[in-house]
Amino acid sequence: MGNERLKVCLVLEGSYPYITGGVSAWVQDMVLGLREIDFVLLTISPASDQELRYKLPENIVEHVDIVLSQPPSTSTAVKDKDGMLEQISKDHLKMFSGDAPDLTEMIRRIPEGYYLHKDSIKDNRSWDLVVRTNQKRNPVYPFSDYYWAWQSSHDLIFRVLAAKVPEADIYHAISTGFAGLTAYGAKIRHGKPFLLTEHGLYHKEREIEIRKTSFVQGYQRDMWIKTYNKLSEICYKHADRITALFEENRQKQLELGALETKTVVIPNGIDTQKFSGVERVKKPGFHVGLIGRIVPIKDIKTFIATAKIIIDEIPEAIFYAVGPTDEDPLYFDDCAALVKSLRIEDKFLFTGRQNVLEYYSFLDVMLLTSIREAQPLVILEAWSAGVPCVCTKVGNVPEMLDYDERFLAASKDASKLAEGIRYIYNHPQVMGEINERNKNKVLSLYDKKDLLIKFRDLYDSMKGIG
Amino acid sequence: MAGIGFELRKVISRGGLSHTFNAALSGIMIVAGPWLLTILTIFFIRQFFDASGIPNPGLFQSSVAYCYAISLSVFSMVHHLFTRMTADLIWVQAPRQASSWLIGFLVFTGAAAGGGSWVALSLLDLGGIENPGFFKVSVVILFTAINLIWVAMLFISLLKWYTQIMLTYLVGMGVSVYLVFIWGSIWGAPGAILGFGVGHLLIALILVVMSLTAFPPLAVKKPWDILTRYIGKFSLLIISGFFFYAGQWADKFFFWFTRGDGVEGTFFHRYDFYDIPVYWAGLSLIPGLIYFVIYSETAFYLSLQKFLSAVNRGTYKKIQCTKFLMIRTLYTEIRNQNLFQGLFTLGAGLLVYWFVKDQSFALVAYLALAGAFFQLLLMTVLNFLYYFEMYLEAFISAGLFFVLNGIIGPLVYNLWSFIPPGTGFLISASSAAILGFAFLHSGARAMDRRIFLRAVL
Repeated sequence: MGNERLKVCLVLEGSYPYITGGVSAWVQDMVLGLREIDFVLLTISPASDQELRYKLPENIVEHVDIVLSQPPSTSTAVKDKDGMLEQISKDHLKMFSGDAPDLTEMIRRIPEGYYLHKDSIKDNRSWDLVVRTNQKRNPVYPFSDYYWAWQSSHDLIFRVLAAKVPEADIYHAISTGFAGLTAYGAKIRHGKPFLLTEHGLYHKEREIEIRKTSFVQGYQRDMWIKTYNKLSEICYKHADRITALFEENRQKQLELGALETKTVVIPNGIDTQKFSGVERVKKPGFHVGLIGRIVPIKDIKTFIATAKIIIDEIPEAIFYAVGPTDEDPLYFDDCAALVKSLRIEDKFLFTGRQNVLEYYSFLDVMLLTSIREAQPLVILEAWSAGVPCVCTKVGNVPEMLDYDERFLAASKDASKLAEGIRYIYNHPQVMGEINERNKNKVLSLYDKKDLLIKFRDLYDSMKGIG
Repeated sequence: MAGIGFELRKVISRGGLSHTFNAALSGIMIVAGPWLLTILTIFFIRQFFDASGIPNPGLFQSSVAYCYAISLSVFSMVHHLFTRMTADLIWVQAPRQASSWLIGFLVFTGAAAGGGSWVALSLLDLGGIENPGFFKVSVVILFTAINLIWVAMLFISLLKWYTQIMLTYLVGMGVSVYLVFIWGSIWGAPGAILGFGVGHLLIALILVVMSLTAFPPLAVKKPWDILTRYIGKFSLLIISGFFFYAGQWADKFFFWFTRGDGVEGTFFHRYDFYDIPVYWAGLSLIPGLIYFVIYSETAFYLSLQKFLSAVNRGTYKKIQCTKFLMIRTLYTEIRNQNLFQGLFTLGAGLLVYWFVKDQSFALVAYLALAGAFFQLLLMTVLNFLYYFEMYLEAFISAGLFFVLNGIIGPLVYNLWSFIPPGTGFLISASSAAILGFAFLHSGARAMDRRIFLRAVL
C-alpha cells in the first residue's frame, strides 16, 4: 500500500495534448518532471479524433476524451428521477437569486453515465424555470433566443456531468469552466480531492470571446457570460486547493468566493539550466523575434506593424515570427499578405515550428504582442537566455517586467512597442545590466524545479482529503 | 383546404346575398361536389335499372357501396401518408417531386387495389352470379379506379383546381351513365358495373394527366429512404386515418352481415333499415363541412400562423397573447360550427319526424343524424390535432372511435339485439370527439412548450 503510486487525473479543456501553447507546455513539463506520479488525462474536446500535438510521456497511464459535440448515450438508470429534477430546479433558483449554490446534492443524484438533458427538458419544472427567469431577466427579448441559449449552455453542462471519469487520487483541473465542473463532479462522486490551477481566468477569457462574436447578442451574450462566471464561482467555492500563477489573479479568485486559506500562488517555471546554458552569438544585424503560434491572440499583425516601423528606421533589423503557422491558416494568410503589402518580405520571416534555443542564441529582442496572456513562459525563457523583452501589458506581464514602461506597451500599440525596441537598440550597456538582473530573477523565482517541488508537496498534502 | 376557404371568405366579405350564395354553392361543389355527383349518378342509374328491367339491380348498388366502403377503410392509411408527403413538398415549392410521388402512389395503389380485390373475389363464392368471371373483372376495375381517383384527388385538391375537378367528374359520370346503359342492357349488372368502372377510370386518367401535365415529374433521390422516414415519423398519423375511416364503416359491415338481406346470388348484404338513414345523415353534413372549410379552418389557420410567428421571434408575453387568441378562436369556431351544423341536423330531424311514420325507423334515423353530427365534430377535432402535430392524441381518439364502433359495439349488439342500429355509432363518435377535444384543450394550452420541446428532442 505504501508503495502505491499516486494517481492524479488532469482535467483539461481545449489545451493539452491537442493544442500547443503555454498551458500545454506547462502540463508537459509537469508530467515529465513528476515521473513518480501516474497521470490520467481527462480532456474535454470540441471534436473527436484530434491530432496529438505532444508525445505523451510514459507516466500518462490513461486518456479519456469527452467530446462535447457528441451527445453521450445514457448508460445508467436514475433511481429517484423526480427528486433529482426537483433538486436541480431548487439549485437553479438559488443560482439566479445571486448565490453560488452547493451543488453537491444535485450532482450526487446524477449518476455518472446518465445524460440528463432529455429528461430535464421534458420536465415541467424545467420549462417553468426558463419562463420564470426569462420574465425576470429578459422579458423584452425574443423568448426563443433566451430558450436556445439556455438549452445550449445546459446541454454542455449535462454532457460534462454525464461523463464517466477515470479513478484517481486527486482531480486536478487546469481551469474552471467545464474542466473545473468535471473535477468538482468527480470530487462528489468519487470522494476525492479537487485541485484547481488557473493560468488565465477562464471566465474572463470567455467573456472577451463572447463580446467579440457577432452571432451571440443581446441577452444571450449576458446569459453565457453569467453561466461562465457561475461555473468559476462554483469551482472556487468547492475546490479543496486553488493555485494561481500570480498574486493579481489570486485576488480575483478571492473576489469570486475562493477562500484565502485555500489559495496559493505558484508561478510558472522553466528549465533554467537549459535556457541559461544557451551560448549567445552575436550575428550581424539587429534581430527581433516573436516566439509563439501564429494565431490572433498573439496579435501577429501588431508585430508586423512594429516591424515596419523599425525596419524603416534600422535597415539592418530582421524580424522573425517563430512558431507554427498551421493552427489558423486563414489568419496566417492574412499576416503573410500584410507583410507583402508593407514590402518587408525580405526582412520579416515566418519560420514555422523551430528549436527556439537556436533563436535565443542570437535574438537581440524578444517581442510579445499578445492581447491576452497569463504568465508567459517565453519571457522567462528569453530572460534566461539573456534576451531582453518588449511586451504588451496583459496578464502578469507588467508585474514580471516590474512595471518598467520602457519595455511595456498597451495592446496593439505598435509605436510604443517600437519605442521599446529602439531603446534596446540604442542602449546596449544599460541593457547588459538589465539582462543580467532579469536572468537572476528567473533563476531565483521561476525555476521549474521549484514548481515541481511545490506541486509535489501540494499533491502530498491533498492525499486523503475527500 | 385552408387555401380555398380563404378564397371563399373573400367572396363572402364583398357582402350581399348573391356573393354569399355564390360562396356557398362553390363551397358545396368543392367540399362535396364529387360525392354529390356520384350519388346523383347512382340514383339516376338506379332509375334506369328499374325502368329497363335489368335483373339484379341490387348487385350493382351493393358492388358500388362495398367498393367505396372498403377503399376508404383499407386505403385511408395510404391517403394520409400521401397527403402529408405532398403537402410538405408543395410547402417547399417542389410540386414536380410531388408529381413523382403521385406516380409512385398510383402504381402502388393500383397494384394493391387490383391485386387485392382479385384475390379477395377469387376466395369468395360467386356461383350465384351470372357470368362470375366478367363480374370479377368489372368489380376489380371499379375498385381500382375508385382508389386511383382518391389518390389523384388528394394531389389535385392541394393544387386547388376545383373547377377542373368538377368538369372532370361531369364528363366521367356522363360516360359512366352512358356505358351503364349500353353495357347494362347487354350484360346485365356486371356490364353496368364495368361501365361504371370505366367511367371512373376515365375520371382517374383525366385527373392524372392534368396533374402530370402541369407538373412533369422530377426524379426523386433515395425514394425508399424518404418513404421509410415518413412512415416512421408519421406512423401515428397514418394509423389514425385508418381508425377513423374503418371505424366509420365498421358497424355498417356488422349490420350488413348479421341483420342484412343477401343480394340475390351473391355474398353481398344490405341492410336498408340502417343504410338509408346513414346515407341521408351523411348528406346532412354538407353544410357543416362547408362551414369548416370557409370559417373554422381558415380562422384557426390565421390564428395559428400568428402564434407560430410569435413563437419564432416574439417575447414570452406575445407568445401567451397569441396562444390564447388562438385557443379562443378554436373554441369559438368549433362552437359556431356545431351550432350551424346543429341547425341542419335538427332540421333533418324535423323532416324525419314529419315524414317518417315508422317509429323504429325514425329512431334509427335520429341516431344516424346525431351520430353524423359527432362524426363531423370528430373529423374537425382530428384536423386541428393534425395542425398541432398532436398525432398521438389523434391516434388515441380515432382509435377509441374504431374500438367502440368496430369491436365493442358489435359485441354489445350481439348481446342485446334490442339496441337500435346507430346507437353504437353515436356513442363512439361522441366519445371520440369529446376525448379528442379534451386533448385539443390541454394540448393547445401547452402548445408553446410542446413546440420548443419538439424542436429540442
